[in-house]
Amino acid sequence: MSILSKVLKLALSFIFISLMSFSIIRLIPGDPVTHLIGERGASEETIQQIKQNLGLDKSVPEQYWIFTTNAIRGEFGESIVSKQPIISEFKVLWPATFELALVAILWSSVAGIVLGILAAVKRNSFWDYGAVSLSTIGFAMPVFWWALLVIFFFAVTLGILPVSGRIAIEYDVPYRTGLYLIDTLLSEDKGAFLSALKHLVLPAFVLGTVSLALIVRVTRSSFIDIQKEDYVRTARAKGLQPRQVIFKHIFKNALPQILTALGLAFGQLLTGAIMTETIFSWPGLGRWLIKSIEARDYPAVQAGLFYSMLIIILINFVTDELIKLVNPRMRGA
Amino acid sequence: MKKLFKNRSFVIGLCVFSFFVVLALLAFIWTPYSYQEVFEGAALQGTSSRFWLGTDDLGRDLLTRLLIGAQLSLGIGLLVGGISIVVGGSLGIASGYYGGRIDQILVQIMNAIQALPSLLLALFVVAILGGGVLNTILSVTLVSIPVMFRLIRSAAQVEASKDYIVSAQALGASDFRIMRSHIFPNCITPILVQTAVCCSEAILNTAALGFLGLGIPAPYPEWGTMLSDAKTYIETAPHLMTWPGGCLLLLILSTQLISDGLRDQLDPKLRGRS
Repeated sequence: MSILSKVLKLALSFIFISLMSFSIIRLIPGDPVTHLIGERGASEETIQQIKQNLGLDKSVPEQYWIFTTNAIRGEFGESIVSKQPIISEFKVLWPATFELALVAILWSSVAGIVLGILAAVKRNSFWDYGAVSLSTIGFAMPVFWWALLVIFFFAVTLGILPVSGRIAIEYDVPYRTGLYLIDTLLSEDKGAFLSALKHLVLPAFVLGTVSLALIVRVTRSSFIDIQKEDYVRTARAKGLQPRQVIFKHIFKNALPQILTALGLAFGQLLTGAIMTETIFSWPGLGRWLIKSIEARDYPAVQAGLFYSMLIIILINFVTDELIKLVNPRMRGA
Repeated sequence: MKKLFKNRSFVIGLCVFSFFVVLALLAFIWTPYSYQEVFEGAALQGTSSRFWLGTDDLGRDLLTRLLIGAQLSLGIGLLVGGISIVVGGSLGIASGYYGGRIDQILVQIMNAIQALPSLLLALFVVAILGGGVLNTILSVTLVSIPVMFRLIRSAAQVEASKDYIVSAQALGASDFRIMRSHIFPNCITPILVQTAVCCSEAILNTAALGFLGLGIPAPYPEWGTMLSDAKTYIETAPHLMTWPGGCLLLLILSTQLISDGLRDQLDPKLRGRS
């Protein structure tokens, strides 16, 4: 596939997500302006004024064009609740979610791949049964209940870890990257770093367990499949060390499937982040989105929809490319 | 069929699921109290002979609320599963059988719906339409239809390319007849498996919406909504959290075990994989 068709595909996806987030406000039953004004009502002049501000007095294609060009520049107007430009709220919230998701996906993919390999190599052992039951229960576990259990155990019973916010209130971290772990290290404030780390442990643990089940399951089943292949038997027969067989032959061939699972896990993480952030009062995008939905802050919801679809499409694109990179057989597709 | 009942995960799943069904049916005839009845001065109590599982923050009987919650969760799960079979299944069969332009348009629409993770999409639907029982069911159904559609479509596609379909066409059978009496019965395996999957997804998503305060509104004792209330009392009354959450996990687990077992037994190609 040439670069041109890739660009075309991404452009089509972009048009699609802009259409979706453009129409969301117009799908609300009733007039959006009356929603914005609320119960109290307003004079005809004010209504016209608001319509003009929102650009609703123009024709629909014109509105769509304005929306899309603004969206490319990252402008979604002002939040109804905070009266701040949405883009500036995003800049503060995004690093928080990114930090949480990154730590979660890192620990869960390392733990998931290791556990999956162990289970497949030592089939029908303690590890195998452990991994299978873990992934079965993990799939069924509602993440919000899991979070409550974790809070109950680590915070209420043991009382060792904080359960809300990103850092203790007494620390003031200068803004550099927005990732508190890095910012505190850069400012060489040991106490602040420890506090940030402590606050991160429980949310990241809960969020990571969502994807852990999926990664364990996929790693294990693809390993079991590939172990049956002829070339693995050949590799063993010619006297390679078990470790060499596992990493050079099986792991390499299982990697495309594991990567696909990681891409899926990232999508799950997005939903998981909404839950986790709400429960742990983590000041990120997920919690902000729920608050915006509750407050019927439509410009914010619109931006949230646009960005979450954009993130998912980009993740899909990146995983597709990564899979082609590690799997030569897929390159023609 | 006999083999199915030798499948361990299917049998365990079915037992647990039936247990909840019996409880939910029982709750139509008998509950200890009414789920809205408030007992003054009896808030946040533990287990006692008067309240078997204790009371919640307003002094309502927890057992009663759990039972009615089982009705809600099961009802929504089965309803969504049913609608998904009818809508997703028939669209899937038609799409797989006809192919061509109809197929492409339907696939594109379903892909568009599936562009977002299911809960996120359900959230946005609720954000547009507002909360409430009907809108919750609607949003949960909307995210479940494409899942059903995709699987049934690929199963129908395989079936439609077989020789006996061609001979049925040659004999002059109408398209509807072929789809109803040839393709549908041969797709029953993936349909059954997928119904269980949709059911568990629906239960989970409903509870998740409830937990976020955007699902089934009070005073209905939906398990997710109950958990969200219990969050405040996690230190003083953890039983408010353990019971609804445990029930939710067991119910979802049971539907997943049923679908795993069905898949293992009915689809020999997949046997022994997981």
